Amino acid sequence: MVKLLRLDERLIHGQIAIKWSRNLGVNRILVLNDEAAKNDLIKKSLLMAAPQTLKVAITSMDEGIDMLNDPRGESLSILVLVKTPKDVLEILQRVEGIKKVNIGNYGRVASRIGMDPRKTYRNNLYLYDSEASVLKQILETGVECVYQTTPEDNPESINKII
Amino acid sequence: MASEALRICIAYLIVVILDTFVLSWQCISRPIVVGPIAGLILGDFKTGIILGASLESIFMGISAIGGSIPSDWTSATFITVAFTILSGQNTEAGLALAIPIGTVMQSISGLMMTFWSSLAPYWEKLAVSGKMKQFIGQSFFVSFLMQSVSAVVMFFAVAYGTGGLDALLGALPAWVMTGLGAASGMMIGIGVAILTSMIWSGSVGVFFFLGYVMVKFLNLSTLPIAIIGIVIAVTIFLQDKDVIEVKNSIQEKLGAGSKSSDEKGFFA
Repeated sequence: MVKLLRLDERLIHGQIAIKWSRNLGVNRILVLNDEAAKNDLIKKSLLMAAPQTLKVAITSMDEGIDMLNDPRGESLSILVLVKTPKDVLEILQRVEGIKKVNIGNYGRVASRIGMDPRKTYRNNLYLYDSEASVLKQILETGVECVYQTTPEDNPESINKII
Repeated sequence: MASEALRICIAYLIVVILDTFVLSWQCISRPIVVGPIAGLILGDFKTGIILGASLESIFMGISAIGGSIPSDWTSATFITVAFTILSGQNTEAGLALAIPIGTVMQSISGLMMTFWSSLAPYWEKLAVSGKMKQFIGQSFFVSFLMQSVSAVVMFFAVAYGTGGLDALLGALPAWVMTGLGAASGMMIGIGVAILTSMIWSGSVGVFFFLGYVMVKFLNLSTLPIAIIGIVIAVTIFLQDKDVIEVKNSIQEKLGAGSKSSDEKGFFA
């Protein structure tokens, strides 16, 4: 079962390893990112950042979506991490039963279109208009979608932010 | 006082710049390193070591993870050690002062950080223009400038604040000082508790009780406990190393998918 689907451009890092994984009490972390799945260096660094106490898989989007649709996942408690709003939407469209989307960190290190800066929405949320419209599409799927960087932060509904 | 304060400032600048730009993150800026350095500069190495170790236990669990901006332990240590040595106060009083000092110093660097961040578009333009030397030179210069602000505050605090603080502590009734001493003892407990809450797990947690028994019932002092701790750590490390080597060699023999991110193990 997917406990939470989180948008975080840094994928696995301190906030995930120390705060979220404990707060949610998950026993699996699944990272869906085509670039990381192909690149051994990225993969190994992410594994180093992950907590030792749970199992982690780093897969391409297609592979990961297959895994999320695997019935064996029902008994697990999974935290799913992706890097872009587009990937969040794709997962929601291709995987059923995801109830919660968390927008954690986005737009600070993600590659830019030319020199144009992203618009600031929150401290850790920067979006181009095209990306904001992807978030709107995410909201249209009816999923609960909140902006919350760490479990201690107050969750804010995305439809109030955008 | 002014010459001592100046020496402390220069030491602070050297530590902060070495730590951020030459060495790695938090190599030498921790209280346990900074305390003895400050003590040595002011001619009381022993107090520096004692304060450094105590401050390290307070600040040990505090680290700038993610967006959190914790108390500034480096300047807190410098100022605390300087206050304690120059005023001749006991270390408990110094320790009790460390947290408020760290918080105040952090709010100053927080202000500077805001200013620094506003320069981001300028750095980006400079980076795009490809002028490497200019970029490196200027970023060094600006960082130095930012740190100097904290250093100047520190100078005035040590040079002109020590006398006033000494008088204030002297004027306080004895029970307040006793309270401060008790509070600083508790702060070390809180510091260790913050750290423990982050790394707590069943397999590590048992050592907490071992430590408690060693202190409370066996009446051991810190040094023998530390040595026992090191022995346990080395033993576990060597054993883990063997286990990992065996695991790796098994996986190598099994061939493909030798990573722990292995998708096959995900559902197991």
